[in-house]
Amino acid sequence: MEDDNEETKLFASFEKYEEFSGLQISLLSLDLFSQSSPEEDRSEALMVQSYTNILNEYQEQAYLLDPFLEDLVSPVVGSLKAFAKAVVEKGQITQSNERINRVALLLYNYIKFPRFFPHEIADLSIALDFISSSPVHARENWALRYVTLLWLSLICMIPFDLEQFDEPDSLGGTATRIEGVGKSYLSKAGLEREGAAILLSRLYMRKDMSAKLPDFLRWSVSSIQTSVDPFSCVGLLQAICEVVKSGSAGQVKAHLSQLMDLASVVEQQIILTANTVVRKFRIKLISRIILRLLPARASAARLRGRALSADAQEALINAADEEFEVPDETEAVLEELFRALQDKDTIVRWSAAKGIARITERLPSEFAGQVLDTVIGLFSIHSMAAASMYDLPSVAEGTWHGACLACAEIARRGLVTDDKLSELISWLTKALYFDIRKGAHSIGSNVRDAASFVLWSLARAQRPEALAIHADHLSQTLAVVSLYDREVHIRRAASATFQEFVGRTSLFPHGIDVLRKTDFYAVGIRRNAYLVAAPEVAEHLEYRPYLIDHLLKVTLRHWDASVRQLGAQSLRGLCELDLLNLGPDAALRASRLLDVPDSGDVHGGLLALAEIAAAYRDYCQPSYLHPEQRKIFSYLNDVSLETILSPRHELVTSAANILIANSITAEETHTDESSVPHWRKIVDAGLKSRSTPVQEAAASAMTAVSKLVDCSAVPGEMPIHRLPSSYQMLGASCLVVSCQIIDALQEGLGDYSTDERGDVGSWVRMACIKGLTSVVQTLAAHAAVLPTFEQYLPPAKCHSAIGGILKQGVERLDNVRQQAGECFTALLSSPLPSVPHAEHWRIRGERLMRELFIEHYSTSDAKGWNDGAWLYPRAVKLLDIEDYRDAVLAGLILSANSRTDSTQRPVTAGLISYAQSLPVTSVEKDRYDLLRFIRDLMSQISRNFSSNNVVIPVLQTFHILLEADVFEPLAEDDQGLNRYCFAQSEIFCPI
Amino acid sequence: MGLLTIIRKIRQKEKEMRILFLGLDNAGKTTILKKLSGEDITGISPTLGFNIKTFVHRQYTLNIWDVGGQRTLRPYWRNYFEQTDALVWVVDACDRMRMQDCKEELHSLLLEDRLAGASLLVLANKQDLPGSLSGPEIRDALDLDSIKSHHWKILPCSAITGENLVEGLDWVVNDVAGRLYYATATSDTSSKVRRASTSEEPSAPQLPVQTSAAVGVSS
Ligand SMILES: Nc1nc2c(ncn2[C@@H]2O[C@H](COP(=O)(O)OP(=O)(O)O)[C@@H](O)[C@H]2O)c(=O)[nH]1
Ligand SMILES: [Mg+2]
Repeated sequence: MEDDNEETKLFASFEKYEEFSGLQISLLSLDLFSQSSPEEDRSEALMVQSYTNILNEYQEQAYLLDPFLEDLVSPVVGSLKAFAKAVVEKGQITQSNERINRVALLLYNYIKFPRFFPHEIADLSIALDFISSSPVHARENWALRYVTLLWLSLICMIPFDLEQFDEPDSLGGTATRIEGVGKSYLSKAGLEREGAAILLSRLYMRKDMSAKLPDFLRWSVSSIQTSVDPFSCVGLLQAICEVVKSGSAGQVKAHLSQLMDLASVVEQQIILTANTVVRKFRIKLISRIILRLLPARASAARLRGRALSADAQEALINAADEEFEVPDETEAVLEELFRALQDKDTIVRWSAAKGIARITERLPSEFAGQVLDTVIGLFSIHSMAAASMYDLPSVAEGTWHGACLACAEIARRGLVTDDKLSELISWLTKALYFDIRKGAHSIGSNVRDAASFVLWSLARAQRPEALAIHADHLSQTLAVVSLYDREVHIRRAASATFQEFVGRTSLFPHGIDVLRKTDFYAVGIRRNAYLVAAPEVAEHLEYRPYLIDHLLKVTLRHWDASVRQLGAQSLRGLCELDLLNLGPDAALRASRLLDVPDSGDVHGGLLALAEIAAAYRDYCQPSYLHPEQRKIFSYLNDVSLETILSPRHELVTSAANILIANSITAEETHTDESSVPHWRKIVDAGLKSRSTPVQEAAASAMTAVSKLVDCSAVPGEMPIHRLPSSYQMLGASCLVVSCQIIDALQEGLGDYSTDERGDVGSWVRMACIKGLTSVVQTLAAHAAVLPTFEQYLPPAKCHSAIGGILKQGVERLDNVRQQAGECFTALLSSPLPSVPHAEHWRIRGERLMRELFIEHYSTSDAKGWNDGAWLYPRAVKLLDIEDYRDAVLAGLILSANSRTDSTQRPVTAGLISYAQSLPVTSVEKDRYDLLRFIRDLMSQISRNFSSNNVVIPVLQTFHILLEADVFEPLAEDDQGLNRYCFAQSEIFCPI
Repeated sequence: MGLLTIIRKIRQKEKEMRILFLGLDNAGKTTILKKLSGEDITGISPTLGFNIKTFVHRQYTLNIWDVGGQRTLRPYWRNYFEQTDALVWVVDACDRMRMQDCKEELHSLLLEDRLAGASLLVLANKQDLPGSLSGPEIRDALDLDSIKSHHWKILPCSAITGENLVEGLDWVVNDVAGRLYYATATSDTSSKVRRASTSEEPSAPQLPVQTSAAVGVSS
């Protein structure tokens, strides 16, 4: 999920209109009063679902629906009205609430979108009666209640005399009724509360009702004081906020002290202020109050834009400035907003940020400047005590985030004066890296995102000339963030900001080119950003040192090990741009991470060194090792052995082994010359580790060591006098290891596991087949120089390895067989080790084998081991060879029982005809006979008695052979008959 | 709410439009934009990459991207963070030699996913020069009639005299607004500049009886 490239689909028009309105027509054509059958109910629910799905698709592009909305909404409203009328006027009763609630849901959906709702004065009494009718009261009909409240609120917006609906004897009764309805829903937990708040706000905004506002405010204050119910408080605040925002400024001025009182009453109730939504609305309220006290002005941001024609330009400019008094309350409210900017909840910070910016826009410029200063000052609150940003306390996150949001809102309104830019930008370039480590994760990505928001806003609003001196620094920082942030959305935010700067200011060095390399897609996948985009950007010297710096200072020390790893690889990519100049310094700096208590840093440092070493290795000829590589190897001394060997630091152990693998040189293999005498212990520890990645790392170190030995064996490329001691070294450390490797690989041949990735076992087995083959070949090739070759590769181990490979060669999976076949043929063609008694290592039955698999192979039309029909008639003959017999038989049995037809058929046919060709008994060594065949089958069972995976296939094999009358000849032989019966009894009564 | 969402919201709220100026190099894109912003139009050097200019037109903010003409520059104007609302395709009406190129480039551009739904204005520029092709001639040369995927219009114009420049953008703004800002566009189609929207007193509800009303439910 993290690195996704998802884009919301862009529509050109409301393509699904027909389908959509069709669904709506069907739903509206139903009789809303009757009870639907269960089937109807289901299909209607499905229709609503499809309808909602279509709407959701257009969520991001709701405007496409606008042209259709009027046509869509009218019939729904009509249906609702007709229903309400029937209920109210004719007293009609519904059987079920399902259908009318669905109609209400349709309306509710439209209201989420920009919104048309036909209504007229005459609806007032219907709506008012309807809202107290039983369908509206039904518990599940929340949508109906909500839309009815909105319907009422719309009617209230029509300017007409409410009293015309009053009974002559109770003037004001209608207003009181509406007020009552509103108040009764105002403390509901559900959506009705919102509907009620809108209704009440519309009511008090009416000219003929504004006199009732003070009463409502008093009622609000007392209900807040008496009940500390957050829901009712939110409802009240919501209604009042709306009045303050959309009512007349005169109303706000007239009731200023009451409004401010209300805000402070809320503040005094701790239970209320503990509620985030209450805090949010309270902040909205106080900022809107001040906003309405200040004269409105043309937005400065708009003033920056040009009008298309000269006279329009004139009008824009004239809309600007005049003098006025700032109300006394402003300062106190701003103080509160600054505090709210640091709230622990994001939504409160957002409201405060918007409030501050909107107020600032209306303030005289000097005052506005002070506001901005105060906001910028927030960045330093927690920074005083901290040595670096990474040491900030976690509460700093809220403060920095709030400060960024406020700066962004101020900036995009064009209210940042040039003299503030330096200070602001210097904080922002820190905020772009804001990341406070908390154990195994960190906080602060929202700060980093908001920092991009400020810069993006500045790019749009400031004059390029004012930004010029900051351009280099900003371009470098934004490039670093768009390439190296851990989070995809932060990388993309930085990339968007970079683009805005390039397009608006043309100030960024190589802006166009870098932008192409760091666009939305390029930075979308972390791996690509680190390993492809970053080296491309680093081709420009303006960016290169900053990227390297960031890797060494931040990325390699990141809390996420996978980021450290990619960071190390990225560092290699950058160094490779100019290895001889960049490598030594990068390595030296990476080595400084080794000597610290944090194992994450040590890990990052080791990985970086390993990557740089690999860069040198690939840079140089294989025969020539760069001196720098030796130096890198020697840095391993900087890590305490204790740290590396600690079982808690697997990552470090593994990285140290990779470093050895990538940087070890022939000199280091001499005990007396090595700069890191304990390196063998590290490899040993790695080989013994229980973790696979660590083992693999250690194995790669082993491979590197053995390769060193390989190439030094080639005369002329290495001083000859070094040879003996190299091998002694290998002898000392590798004797045990060599047998361990063979055993491990053998064990791997028995891996038949599968998991969600698929048949993992088969990959493991194939890898082990290859591994065994190369171990055998490599050791054999160097037999002459290994003092005790038979201890490295004892003949028994060698033959059991070959048997293991052959077993794989006759099993079920075509690709595994093919792999085994290729390896086996390669072994068959390899020379014998040049040692005395080389015969011990000769493949048994070699002549037969060659005949079967090499000579035939080259004459027949290139069939391989993967082809069962070709293979099995030959493979069964392997049973003749005593040394591999057990293994081959086990493999054949498995195949005979396989459900893969292309395997099973040739195996059984092969086995049958092979068995038919066998004598009952034989005395020759490599000549099988029926009696021994039965005995061997039996022993497969007795050795694996508890494993159905073996027993059943053996029985199956017996079954096949019996059906083919293969054992017939035994009947004529005493011993044979015995064996035959014994076999049966042994199978069925195993004790 | 991350920056990418914020950008989208701000766009909607501030009634912004993103308009791309594209066309073969030397067509006059940069000159047209300079003319519109009242800058000196002598001595314009070829545009490298892109420049963004902001205009205010009626209640809308127009972010116009002037993009260098070379084909290889296409990646730069692709903006994945904002959609493109309109494309102004500028043609050098005197450049008969490259008319075929111009047509192919335009038609291939219209296949871009990210331009789906965008309005297309073709400006047949340099009408002040003798021998320039007329609007209808360019319409045929570019085979505009075959375009069904986009709303389009062609206007003859001149960056030197300023003929039809404002009219062209006015069409663009109307067409885009009709799609993006339908609700407000239909109630205000006059082209005189209104006071900046924030400078208005929020008007007390005064809606004609029996009509549709906008209801704000979010706060
Ligand atoms: N006579 C005339 N020349 C124009 C007109 N528009 C642009 N030019 C000239 O055409 C050349 C290219 O213009 P420019 O704006 O750089 O084209 P761009 O590559 O599309 O941006 C410049 O020399 C302009 O002076 C026009 O309407 N009439
Ligand atoms: Mg240009």
